[in-house]
Amino acid sequence: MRKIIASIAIGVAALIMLAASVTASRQEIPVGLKDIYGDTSGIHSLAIEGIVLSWNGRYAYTFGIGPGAAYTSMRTFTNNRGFASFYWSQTSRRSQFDSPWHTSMFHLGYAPIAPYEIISVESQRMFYHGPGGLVPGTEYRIYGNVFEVKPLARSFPLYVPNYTPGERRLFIKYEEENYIFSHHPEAGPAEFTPSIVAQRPMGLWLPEQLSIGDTHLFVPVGAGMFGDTAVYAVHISQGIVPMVYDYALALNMVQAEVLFPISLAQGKDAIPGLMRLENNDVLLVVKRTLGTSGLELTRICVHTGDNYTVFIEIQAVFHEHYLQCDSLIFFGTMADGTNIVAAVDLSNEGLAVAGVFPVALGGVAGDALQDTPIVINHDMLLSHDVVYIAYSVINGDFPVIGESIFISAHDFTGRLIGRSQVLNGIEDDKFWTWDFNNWGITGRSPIHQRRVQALSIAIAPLYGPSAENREYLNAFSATKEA
Amino acid sequence: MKRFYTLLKLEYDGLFFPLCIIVAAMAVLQLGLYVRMLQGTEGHVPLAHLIDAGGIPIAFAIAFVCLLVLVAARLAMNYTPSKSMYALLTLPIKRWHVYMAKLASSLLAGFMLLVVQVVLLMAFHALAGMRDASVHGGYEIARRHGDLYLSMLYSNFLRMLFPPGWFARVFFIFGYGGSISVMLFCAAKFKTGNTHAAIATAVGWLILLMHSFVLTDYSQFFGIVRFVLIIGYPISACIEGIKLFEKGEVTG
Repeated sequence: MRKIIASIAIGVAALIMLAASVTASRQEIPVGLKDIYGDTSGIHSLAIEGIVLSWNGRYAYTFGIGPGAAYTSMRTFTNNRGFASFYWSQTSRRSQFDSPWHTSMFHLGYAPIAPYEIISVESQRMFYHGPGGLVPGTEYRIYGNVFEVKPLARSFPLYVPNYTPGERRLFIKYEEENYIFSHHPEAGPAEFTPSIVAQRPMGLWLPEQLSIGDTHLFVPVGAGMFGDTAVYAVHISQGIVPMVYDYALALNMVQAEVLFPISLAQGKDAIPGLMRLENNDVLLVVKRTLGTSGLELTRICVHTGDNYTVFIEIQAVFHEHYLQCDSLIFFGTMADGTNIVAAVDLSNEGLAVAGVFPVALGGVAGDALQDTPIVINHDMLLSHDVVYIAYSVINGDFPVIGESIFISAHDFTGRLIGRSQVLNGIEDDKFWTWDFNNWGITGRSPIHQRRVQALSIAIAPLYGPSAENREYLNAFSATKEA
Repeated sequence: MKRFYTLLKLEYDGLFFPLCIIVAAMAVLQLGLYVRMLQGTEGHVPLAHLIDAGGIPIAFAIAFVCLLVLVAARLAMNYTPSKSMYALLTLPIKRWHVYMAKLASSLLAGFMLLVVQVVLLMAFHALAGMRDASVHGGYEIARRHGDLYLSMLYSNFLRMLFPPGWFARVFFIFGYGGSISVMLFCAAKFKTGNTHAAIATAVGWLILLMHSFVLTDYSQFFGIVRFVLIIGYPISACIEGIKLFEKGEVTG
């Protein structure tokens, strides 16, 4: 009998271990719907994905593709406490197409997003309710009680001002088919009805030239929509939140071809630095691989009228980016493994182009963190003067409230101008979540001022009042007062 | 009950060694497939994808089929060459206890197969983290967080083995254990010479399983009919198997 008892005991222990590990793994996800609504296991089997079309701070207009059970499941949603508020209007707003995929359907609706955190598991970024919190064009997935938002990999909305004012076009590639939808968000939710306006290879949408004021999607002819290489360009005008997606570029990076006729005559040797862009300028992200050498260059370019200016060209792969309020931030890795951050500040006053900030992994010299690995937390704040990057001092954990972080400040050339001491145990969730992830780019909000104040306090003791640092600290103060 | 336990021990002992071979082969195969999958990917690949696309479900399915064959073979061995079935039915123990001992030992063997899969799953998670650490440094390590939990949601294979809802868990338990029960009954039926009934029973169960787990989306199998069938079918097989033993029909 001992063998039987031992087998049962080992089995039970293994299952307990698995349950504990999975539970612990779940806890590693900082905040999710599970923490807001409690047990939502009733909808565990649901898997819906789609994208956020637009976001007005209260409602997210969504469009998605779900399994065959999506329709039923969504009605289940409405009866589920966990998603009742999220999809309460789905049944009346949805629109179903006679799709060739028998097991698939589209769902469309506007979902009032409760003021809770939405987690992005894959990128470990958190999007929050509030200005810039939910970025239009982000892709979401709902797997049970996990709401996941991530940069789009296969579909994205594109603003096309040449067409009907307010028209937003949605490009979707699904199961090797390309679909284009359009809708008019200004018409309101009641008329928020998409229609298939075209079904054609995306390569046909490659324009021959770029005109000022246009917004285009550039996709190489012959390549998949999110194939080897692509160039995406988005119009920037009148304060409209620009969308620049190079995410797909990071997916398959083997193509050895320059796809976009960028003139390098001007700006080729531009030193990363402060640069003002005007309205109607076009921001481009281009990626190329040189020959078969594997050398990969990523460019962030600006179309400033007659020419394209490459203001960042670097041998790096930008594998992440996101739009945070009015700053566009790219995270990448250079060939030597150095992490890199590039940032563009997009404000109503014009576009301030920030530089590239090499971020080396390693310890902080001179303190106890000499050998402690440090990971980029993806929390980056950008003002017109200084870029702040929040790091987490990890012990293998994703930084959460209560963990230690430190913050570095860079000028626009990427030079380190200050690094805070280690901030142990950030207990104030407001400080951590709101201030660092959501607010405070341009100094308009009170929360931003608190953040700047906190940073000033944090940085000052460590970097002393040297002449150079004093200048920057003065800039701090000016920003704070503003 | 002491005699029942003794018989249970004997049956389990008989299954143990070949079971060890099956699970060891499954572990080697899965680890090999997984490492190959890891080496063939770059960057952060979710654990769910590594498991589903790496052939792990196929390896588990092969092992489970081997287990079913083992269960049937174990019963068949009571006929040839030893003809110990006659001895079993004359033991000073209720005949239905004999059947239950065989069924319980077989279910325990199935349980152990699952346990090994659990251990392998933990190993897979650890291996992925180690690979990330060696290739990408701490940045990728951080991205593994929550991956185990999410893999239980994302992976079709893991979601089938360890369903997140109680309803589905019941469904899986009866689907998994029911396969063993039905297999045991079919083997007994086959040995009585009723080949057609054995095949019909097995095919019926296979159709039900296919309809529930393969052909139909996992989220849709909560239909009351299928739920009743998936529970009732193996229980009926168990009852019929007991009847075979009680009537002594299994002696042929």
